[in-house]
Amino acid sequence: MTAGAPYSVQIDGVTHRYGRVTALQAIDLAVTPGEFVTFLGPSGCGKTTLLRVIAGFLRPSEGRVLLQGEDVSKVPPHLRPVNTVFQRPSLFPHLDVGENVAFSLRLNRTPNAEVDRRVAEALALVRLAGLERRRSHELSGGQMQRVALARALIGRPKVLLLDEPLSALDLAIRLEMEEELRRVHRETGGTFIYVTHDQRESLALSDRVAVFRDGHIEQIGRPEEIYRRPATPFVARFVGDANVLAIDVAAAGTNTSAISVGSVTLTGSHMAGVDGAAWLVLRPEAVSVTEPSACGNGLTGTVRDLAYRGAGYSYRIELPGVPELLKAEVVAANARPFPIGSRVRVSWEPAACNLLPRQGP
Amino acid sequence: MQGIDRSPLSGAISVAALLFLVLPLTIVVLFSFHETASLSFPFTGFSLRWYREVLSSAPFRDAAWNSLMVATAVAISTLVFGILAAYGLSRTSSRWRAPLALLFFVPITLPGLFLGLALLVFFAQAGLKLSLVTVALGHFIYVFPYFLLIAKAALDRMDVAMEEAAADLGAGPWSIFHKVTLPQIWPVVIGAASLAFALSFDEFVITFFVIGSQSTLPLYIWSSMRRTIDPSINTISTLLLAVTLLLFAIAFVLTLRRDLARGRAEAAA
Repeated sequence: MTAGAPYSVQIDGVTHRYGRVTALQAIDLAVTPGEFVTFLGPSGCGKTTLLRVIAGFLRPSEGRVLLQGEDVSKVPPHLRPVNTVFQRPSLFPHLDVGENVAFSLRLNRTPNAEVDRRVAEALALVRLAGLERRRSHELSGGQMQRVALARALIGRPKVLLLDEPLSALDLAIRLEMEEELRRVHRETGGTFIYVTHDQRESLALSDRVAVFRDGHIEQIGRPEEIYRRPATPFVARFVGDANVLAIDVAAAGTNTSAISVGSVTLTGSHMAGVDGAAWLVLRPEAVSVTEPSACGNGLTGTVRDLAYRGAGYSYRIELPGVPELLKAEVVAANARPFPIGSRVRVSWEPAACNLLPRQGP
Repeated sequence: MQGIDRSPLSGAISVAALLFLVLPLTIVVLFSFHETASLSFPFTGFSLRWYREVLSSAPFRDAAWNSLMVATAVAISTLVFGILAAYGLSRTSSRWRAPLALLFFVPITLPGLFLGLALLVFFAQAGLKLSLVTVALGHFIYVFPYFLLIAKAALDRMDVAMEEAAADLGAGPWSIFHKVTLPQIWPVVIGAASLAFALSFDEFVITFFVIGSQSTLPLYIWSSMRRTIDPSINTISTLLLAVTLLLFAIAFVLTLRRDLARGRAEAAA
């Protein structure tokens, strides 16, 4: 280990091809010690491939992987200072819980007394204290994944890799496990790299989110940045299911702009730096839905779908000339919803929208 | 299981087929306990006389010992080479995997007569003197595919993610094999080795071609029959049957135990 290496994990121009398919395209990424980073993206975007490259199960076609400043590109998985929690717990069925957790310690012939102590510690960390003698098939899915977590953490890895570890669990257990993971991350202070396709999970867990698309990183940043300031329409749609509308902006006066949304042109305050084609990114919860009124600036649409969400209603609203339905999440504890087919006025605060450059007419 | 319409006829046919299979064996076993030298009914009384006679006969003991040695050697060598070959075949990503596996299984499809003749010619060409060693070599070729088939199936069924998890936890290739893979497949492997033993123990055709001056149990039965027919042949056959059945039972239980357990668990769920 190089003393004072600034990065826990450094990905240096990593490209990976499966035959003729390029799964990763020249990825650069640096993770600082103690950071919790998630790789977020749809299936087939390359996030799991990159995780397997870091773990050593795949050799990158090009580029280097550095752990603690040391090039491990050619080091086999069993000699890398990283451990992985897989999608399935993959516990060893012929060993009990304690021996599963102790597996890596037994390999390097740790004395029994120390093994017992550290197994007890690791099981306490994942709140399974005292279950050493259980067989793995006697555990619930959530418990198995906790054992897998304890097994991966007992060797005090510099980097813990988590490959969609919660995706096979029920929602209630998943939420509970998220909380546990945050706690375990705080208590161990290690570097965590977490792969998921669940944007909610990535926002809830991580210090930074890397959004993957087609083998490259589309955007990387703090969860708030990713959510509030998506860099591309893809990120906006994937994280938080935003509305992405094609608009055209033209200067209409000294302080005003003419904004075309579908077949409607609105007059708004001047938008600095934007001229011509753009994407309007609008979070569903930023859209207000009100009675149609003759006066004022706004869009009028037709409710096409309505769903009750407990805290409020979720609308799908057709706007004239806009190909996709506008999503709106309205918090309204007692108000009666606008029924399907009714005309409504939709509006939003200027601060709530993001504009992204758009190619084309 | 409900709703499957079992016709009484199919039950009757099954019983008839079973009787046809078991009846001749029962008669052999029954007359091995006959008190007289007669091999036909009426059965006059039980006696262990033929067992005493056979077990005290020196040629029988030699043949039994030879069979035991050959079968043991075959079972052990099949076990060692078979596991390695099965592991290699199961885990390789080479595009030669399928053709190679096919090649390994070819001996199953060959008639024993052909294999025996081919081996005889081969050993003569190679200048190998016919002995129990050549018999063991012949049996090895004959039983190896059966072992490989079973062991490879067990390895293919295993979750490869488990081996990855072991590698991730710091286990090198050898540690993975003996700490994770082997503990999960050993019952099947021991079962398959028992099967190899049983197949070798009562193999006749190949043995007939490649054996020298010595004898194995099946060969001893055959040569005794050419001389006289008395219940001692039934006795030897019964002993052979008992050993083989026992080993097949072991093989059956060990290789199918997990499937049976899984079946029960699923039925209970």
